[in-house]
Amino acid sequence: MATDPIPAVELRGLVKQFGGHEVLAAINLAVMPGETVCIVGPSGSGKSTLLRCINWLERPDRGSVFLHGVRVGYRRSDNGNVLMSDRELAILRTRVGMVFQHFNLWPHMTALGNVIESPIHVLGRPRGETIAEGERLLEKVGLADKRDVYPAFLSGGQMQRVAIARALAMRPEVLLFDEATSALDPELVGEVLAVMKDLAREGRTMIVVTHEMKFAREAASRVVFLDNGRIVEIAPAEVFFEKPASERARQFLERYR
Amino acid sequence: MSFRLDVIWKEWLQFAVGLGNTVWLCAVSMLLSLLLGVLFVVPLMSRRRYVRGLARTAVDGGRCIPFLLLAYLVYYALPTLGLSLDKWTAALITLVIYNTAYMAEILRAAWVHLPGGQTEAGRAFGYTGIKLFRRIILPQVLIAVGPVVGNQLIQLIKDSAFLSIITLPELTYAANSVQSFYFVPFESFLVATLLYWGLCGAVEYLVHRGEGLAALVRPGHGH
Repeated sequence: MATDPIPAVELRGLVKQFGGHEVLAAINLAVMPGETVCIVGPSGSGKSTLLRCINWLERPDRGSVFLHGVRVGYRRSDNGNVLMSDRELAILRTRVGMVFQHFNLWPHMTALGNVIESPIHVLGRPRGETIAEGERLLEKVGLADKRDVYPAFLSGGQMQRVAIARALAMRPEVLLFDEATSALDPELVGEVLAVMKDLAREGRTMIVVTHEMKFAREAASRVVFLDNGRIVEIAPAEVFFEKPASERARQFLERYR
Repeated sequence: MSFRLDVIWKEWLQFAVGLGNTVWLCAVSMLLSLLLGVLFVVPLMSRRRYVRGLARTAVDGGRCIPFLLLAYLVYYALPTLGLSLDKWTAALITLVIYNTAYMAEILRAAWVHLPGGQTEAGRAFGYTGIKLFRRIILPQVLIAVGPVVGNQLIQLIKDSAFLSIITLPELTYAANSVQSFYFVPFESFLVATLLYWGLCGAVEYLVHRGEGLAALVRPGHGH
């Protein structure tokens, strides 16, 4: 980590408003390669918005986002910074893998179809080797036997694991998890968290918005506590959970004990 | 009164040809309309207001004209502007214009009701513009519209009876010419009705067969 001074993701002075209401207020955050950063906080604190600003699914009103030092959303030109075209933005987005709360698998494609779709049609990778890699990834998330099954016939936990394989197939520099287990029945949460833990252990760069405090405690290198659109606290996981610095974080954690 | 099925039997070829013409005209115009509808739905969903407005005007124009009047316009009015069409071309054009307007609107409604998450996932994975439409949005829309398109095809089959007015030898025209020649209106129209029922039944059957496919995109299905 210390040998690579360029953060995988860096947010500087990020501001996002919805109809006059400030959802994110001057967020500064740097996530180093290999880190797993968990973003926790009460509902409506802006966690998901923060995540969605990273790949500009949500366009920030002010501030900047950098992916390995490359600014997202703006491109340098002779007359200052200009807004990226949809196409330029799309190319940058392929460097970020995203896993959604409601899976958002493409229902007209099989599990494998979902996994190989973007590598082939967006990145232009050769079909044969992409299929081989897709099969490996399905095996990694424990779903090799669901290769040819359509999402409508998978359980929530299985769908989310396919969605993780789909994100991995892009060979992304960063993985974003947007409340990946919040829509799951309680008995299905574990299988998804297990996959996520493995990824964290492998040293993937991950930013995880979650309500699973046990997961954050075990898998996160650092925890970001967000409240009311502001970062109240950033601390190593064990510090945050044992000795939170702020009163607000203490109250928040109280509810999970 | 005697029931003159023997006449119908003698003229079976006229009915068969009429039915055949109805079938191929409706099938071909349905396919063309679906293709054109796909092209039309893109401006209908455009982010630019004037593009959307223009497309909306064209679609509503096509939907809100009586089918019979449209057939008159194409077959009788266009020649006065110097554009003469034979009745087959006129019939096909009428069917396609009328039906494309409906198809575009049907596709638009399905697109609007698509769960937004899948499209957003498409964007997150680097899709944009036409490729997003072609790979992610359109396939879901086409699967979702199956039953509605079947319904529209039934409407189209019934509307096509109006084409007998421009002397196109489709099923209603055949029934009419048999009944007027032998004066057997009841027998002739009854047979035509039964054939229309059979045709619509076949469409219903195909739609029913396709329901398994539609289940793929129905939210909340599965396990």
